[in-house]
Amino acid sequence: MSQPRILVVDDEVTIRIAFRLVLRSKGFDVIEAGRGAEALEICAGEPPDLVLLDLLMPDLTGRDVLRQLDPAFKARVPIIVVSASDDPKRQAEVFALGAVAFIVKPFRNATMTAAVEHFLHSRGAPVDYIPDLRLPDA
Amino acid sequence: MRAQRYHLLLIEDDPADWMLFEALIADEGGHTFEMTRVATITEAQALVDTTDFDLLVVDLHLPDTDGWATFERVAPLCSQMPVVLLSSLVDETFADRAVRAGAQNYLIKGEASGRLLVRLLLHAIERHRIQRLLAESEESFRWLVDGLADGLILLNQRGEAVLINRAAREMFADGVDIAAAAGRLATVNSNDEIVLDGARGQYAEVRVTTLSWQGQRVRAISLRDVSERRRVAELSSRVRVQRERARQLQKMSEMKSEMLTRLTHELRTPMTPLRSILEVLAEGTPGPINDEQRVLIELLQSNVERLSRFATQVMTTASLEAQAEAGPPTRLEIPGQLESTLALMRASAEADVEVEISTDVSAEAWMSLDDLSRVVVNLLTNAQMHNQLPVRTRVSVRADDAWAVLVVEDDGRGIPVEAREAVFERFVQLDRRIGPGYQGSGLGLPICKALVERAGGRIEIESSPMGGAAIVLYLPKPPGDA
Repeated sequence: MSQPRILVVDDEVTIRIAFRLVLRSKGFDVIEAGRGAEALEICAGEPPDLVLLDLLMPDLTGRDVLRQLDPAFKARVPIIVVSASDDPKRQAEVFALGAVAFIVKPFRNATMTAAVEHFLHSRGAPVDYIPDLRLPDA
Repeated sequence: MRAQRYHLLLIEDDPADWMLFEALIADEGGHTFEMTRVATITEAQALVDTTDFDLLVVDLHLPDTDGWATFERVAPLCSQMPVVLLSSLVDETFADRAVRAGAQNYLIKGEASGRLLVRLLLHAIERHRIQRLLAESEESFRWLVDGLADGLILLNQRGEAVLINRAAREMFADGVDIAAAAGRLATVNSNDEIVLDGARGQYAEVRVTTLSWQGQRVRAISLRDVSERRRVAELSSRVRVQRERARQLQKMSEMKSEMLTRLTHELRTPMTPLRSILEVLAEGTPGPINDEQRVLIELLQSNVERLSRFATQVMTTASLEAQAEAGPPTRLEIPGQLESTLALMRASAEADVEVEISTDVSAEAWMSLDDLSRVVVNLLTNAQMHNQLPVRTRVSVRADDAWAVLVVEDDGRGIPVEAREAVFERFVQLDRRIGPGYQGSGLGLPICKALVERAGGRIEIESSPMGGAAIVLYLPKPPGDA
């Protein structure tokens, strides 16, 4: 089986580099999008296995991307929002739009890899405690 | 004039004179005078006490008294009934004095007779009746004026008070010369609101009108004590100012929170790749590193962690200031909650603290679970950071009737008594002077205090028997348990 493909959507190039470094070291294949529109194109063409989505981007916000993604895509591909805002209201909003989890920046690499592993392989199963990871209310 | 019967009392000692008088007025113009005659004033005085008379006619020359002395003896009756004097002498001066003193007329015997005499007597009766009505009306007026709730002062043209009603008198404090104080009102104008000299209340509202009073022009000044109204107006304007100030403070505080939120966001965003990349480097993923490089990377990492902690605490402060909603309070069984909080701390490797939990006593607190966890994490992190050497920390529950008391203590350096209030102020860092290596933000204890207080509890610092500081949390018990 080929390596799982993770789509990293963030306008900050250093963040994309960092995430790529971390995820590749754990054996994932990483593709990147610096803009929301680009992310939508990738998802429509060759869908990834998981999306790490930033909220604040110049063209489309993460919420816009979530809104424009096909519900069938969201049901199949887990989307994890990554943001510096630890605001429960904002988190509730993205959960309502179909995100499966929310990681609060800054976080340890272990948090990101643990979350990615969990949602790739055990989506729907209960999550063990992962620092800085926020989940929808059960 | 309508024909009537009148009861007349005549004081006349001379039988010829009284018979003449009786003859002179008999059946004149259809009026009937029923006459009672006495010879002396003493007799007359006895009679007027028991009988109503319409008219008193007195001869000034009597056996027991004469002239002015006679009038003086009947003068007290002038207000009660019309008094007409009879004399044989033409004395205009006497007549004037007597009329001014209350007599209705002064008749010279033999001067008037028949219809004229009767008319003079009837006019005396009528005039007296009118005077009496006037007197009653003035009495009513005075009664009304004195009954007014507003003060009323009448000043004549010389500025002298000719009338001060009861309300006006009561407006001045005891011992004040009211006439003099009233005189100072000669220049006030209508609708002025004046400060009343020597008044009990401070402020009076004034209305002025000019009117005629007892034959002279007077300024009628009505005074209404508006001190209470003024006081209420001042109070409400003060309340308005304070409300406005509170609103501005609230707005400033919201702006500050907003700024802190942005600041935190800007701090956290670049920290994310910094942290990730340093971790990857330390793991040697891009390539092997030597020992010196490892030390340098670890140094960078500890600084990133410090910045990250600071950002988190600033964020917490901002959300507390914005009065972000606390999670709902729940029943928290303290030793149990402590165990799970510590488990989380160890799992996130935020603190590799050795904590001794004393569970001899149990207690339940009524507080948001998130808030309690944050307080405990902050206090345990504090205990490690504020002491250069690793310290022993103990968390225990103390028995108390009113509160769930939680104590976090250590065997570190402690907090001096004089600093125990200041450490709850934001950015006060007791340990700044301990030099490099210290990584606190000065926000830990203020945050704990705010969280404990919003649950309705309080936080205090004591000296621990272990040698260091004891932070004592008095947390509210669940409702119904107190």
